[in-house]
Amino acid sequence: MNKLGLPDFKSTKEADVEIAITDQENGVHIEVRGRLDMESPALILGEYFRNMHRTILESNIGHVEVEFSDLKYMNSAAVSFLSSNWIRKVRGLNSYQLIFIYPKRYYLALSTMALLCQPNAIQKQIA
Amino acid sequence: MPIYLEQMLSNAYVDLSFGPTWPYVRVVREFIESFCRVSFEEHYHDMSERISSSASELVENAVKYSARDGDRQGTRVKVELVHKTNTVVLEVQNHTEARYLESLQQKIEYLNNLTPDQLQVLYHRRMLEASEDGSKSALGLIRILREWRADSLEMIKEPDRLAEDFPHFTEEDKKIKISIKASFKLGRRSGINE
Repeated sequence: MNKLGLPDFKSTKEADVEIAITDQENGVHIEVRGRLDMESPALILGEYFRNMHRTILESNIGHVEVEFSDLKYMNSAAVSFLSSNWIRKVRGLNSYQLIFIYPKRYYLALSTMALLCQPNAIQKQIA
Repeated sequence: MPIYLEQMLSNAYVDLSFGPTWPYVRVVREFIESFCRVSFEEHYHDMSERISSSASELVENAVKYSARDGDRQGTRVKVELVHKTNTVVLEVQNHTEARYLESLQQKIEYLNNLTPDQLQVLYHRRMLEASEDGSKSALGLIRILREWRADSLEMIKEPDRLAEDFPHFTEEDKKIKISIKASFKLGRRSGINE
């Protein structure tokens, strides 16, 4: 079990997405794999993300790396969901730092998210 | 260019019809991606991702806004290489209710007139709004133009035959056939005649 005490999110019938959490020194690494292409991501992932954010805050974790390198597709509903479930919560908060790691194809969506999270987020584009 | 590639490009089109149902969105996206990879990717880098992602956004909209009482004529997706203009045209067609049309038309006209820098500013603003209230007004259309670099979007509408057959229908009852077209200009380097 990771230090957040949260289970990895396995795919459901509605969602072909997996979320795996691994521990790092003073932080956690969250990997999002598969496809974020649900009609209503909040219905499927909302509670999981709310718990994750709350647990990270309670655990005084310094940084959260979020890696999207194995994400095959992300629709606009998912972009909107991630914005409302992370940007809104992290922006201006004196707490953990978000580090987005993503391939070139998500440059615009995730660099914009990182920008909107300032000063609490940084971005790393990978090949 | 090898002969088989020339032949492939001269026949590079696909035309699909399907019932407007959410699980088909992924099926269609993945089919279009495979089609584009086979047809264009060897010469036109990243076209399959740009076109299939754009198709997916338009098909999502078609599924959400198709007329509810059984769209038996289906949602239609076409991808075609237009040789004359060296452009790949993606077209998504469905039957929808009249009340959705005006705002969609206005959005498309507005977005088509923006420069890339203005689109970028709008993209930021929409993301910020999404972070505040979860809305995603026109985010998909903005992504098609900015993220997947379509050169233009166009909406074409025509009254549906049903509306003509049932003149007692109110405006709200009328179903209109609409097509949204996104055009992707191919680079000079990858011209089909080289």
